[in-house]
Amino acid sequence: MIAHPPFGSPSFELMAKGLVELHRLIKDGKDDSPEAESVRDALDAPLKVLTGAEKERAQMLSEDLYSVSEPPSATTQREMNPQAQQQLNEAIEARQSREWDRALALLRRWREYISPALLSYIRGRTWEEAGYPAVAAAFFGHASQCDPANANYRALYMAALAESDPDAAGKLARQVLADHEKFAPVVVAEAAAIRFSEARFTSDAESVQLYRELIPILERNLTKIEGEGGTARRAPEYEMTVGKLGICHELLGNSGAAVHYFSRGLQANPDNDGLLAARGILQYGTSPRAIADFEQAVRLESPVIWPYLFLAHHYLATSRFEQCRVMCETGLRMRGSDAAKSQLEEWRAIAQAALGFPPEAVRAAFEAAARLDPSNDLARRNQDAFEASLGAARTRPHSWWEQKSEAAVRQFGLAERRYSFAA
Amino acid sequence: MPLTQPPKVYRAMKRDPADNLPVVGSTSSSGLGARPGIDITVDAAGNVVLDASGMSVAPGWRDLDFPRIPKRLRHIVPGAAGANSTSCFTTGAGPFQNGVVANGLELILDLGRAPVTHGVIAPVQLVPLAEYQTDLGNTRAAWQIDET
Repeated sequence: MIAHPPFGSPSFELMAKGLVELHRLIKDGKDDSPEAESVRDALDAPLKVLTGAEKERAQMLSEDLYSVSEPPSATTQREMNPQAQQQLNEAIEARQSREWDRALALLRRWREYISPALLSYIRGRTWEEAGYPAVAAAFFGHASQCDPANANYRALYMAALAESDPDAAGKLARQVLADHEKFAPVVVAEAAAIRFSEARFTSDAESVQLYRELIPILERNLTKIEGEGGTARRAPEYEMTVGKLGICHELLGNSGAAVHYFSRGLQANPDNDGLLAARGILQYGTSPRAIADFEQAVRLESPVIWPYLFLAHHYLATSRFEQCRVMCETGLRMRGSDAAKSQLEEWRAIAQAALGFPPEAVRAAFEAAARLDPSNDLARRNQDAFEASLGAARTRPHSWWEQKSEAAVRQFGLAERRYSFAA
Repeated sequence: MPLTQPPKVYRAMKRDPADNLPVVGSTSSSGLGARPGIDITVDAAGNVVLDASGMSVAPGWRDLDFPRIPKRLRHIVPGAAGANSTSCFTTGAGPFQNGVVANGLELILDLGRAPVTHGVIAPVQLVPLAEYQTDLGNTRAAWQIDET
């Protein structure tokens, strides 16, 4: 993965958020209020420490935000022409190549030729990709207001709001779900995703209640999408809906139903690594398809730890130590809990021992396992056994080590996933 | 006519519609005054600290922070986001350099490379905060709107 420099300092981030707030007040006719004055006061400190380029960017952001807070009259709109279209394409290309300032400057220069909804949508995408969800939400919200028939604008607005103002997004999601028949499937799917992420902060009982409430709504959403026929099943909202249905069932302990929905999602998009990992975990040790799912997720370079962890266990259990070692090392670079990484370190130690690595390397991996998860007793016992065996020249077959069964690893994975949804 | 003209400085401040002069106040940055602890440092005895803090000013209205410039001037300074109830006021006629501004007050420019675009009107000597605010308030009649 390529690491990109951030689009602005922490002070610029404060400035951008403050400007969004100030323009919200301007939009509400409160630009002369004490509230607006305190927002301006709060901007003094960050503004002082911005670089010259950041100052200009902040000033231009404020100018662009006027398209939301005090939109120009429709009479200033000009008809699109080939030159403006070419410049619009250039702006989109600049955004795609992460030249945010250039993209925004081109949009500003040619703004009169671009419809307000499209202009706000592209500005929103630019700021979203630059890592500023609060700014993106302001523009997406405006795009949605300008073109209420475009459900994607509304869904994008909700997604950006979920990142920048989770409380406001939760409120909006509740409104959508309470009247879900009135909204497009993509909006309902996004609302469900927002409510789902809120479950992290609720009790188990409340989460269970929420999953039970979401299932019928998501099922109706799915029926609606399928009713639209054609390419609807390839739409992101389809994968989102079946994925969320699968997770709801998984968390309620309905494995069969969960596998069913994950499979439906995979029929629509066989390259969805999240769905592959989810189905693989549920079926590990009970169906050979689980291994194929994990292998495919690894080929797709899934950023989550699960496919690597399960394949590492599978390779260890089948004495493919080199493959196990490589899988452990790859998995350790992915997103995952300390408990999952401790497990990988332990298996890496065992694979290294089996491959004849120096005792120091094996010991270091065992120690990392203990450090990452002090409750990993199996790692400690395996290390003790390894240390005790060092004097005697002996080979250690797979059966020599204490190891988890496939069912135990599956339970570990499901519990960790449940924990990660709730964390 | 004094030998040396006090430096010409600009500041965005709330306009009193009664006489088109700035509103005196120290609770917000749009008043003619300095916010204690924010704009001006105050010691435990209630005296101002001579540490180059004070009421912010600029050499031209276009140099003011854009969130302070009234939004009606957006066609000149893009992004200007100040309230339209504020105006860009100026006082003095001399060059923007360190020097006496009015009784008890002096302009201190920020350190840095020229052209310096920010400075503060600070007390010339250690005085109680109230006296400094009074000195600032006493300049009220010398300010006039200039947004040209």
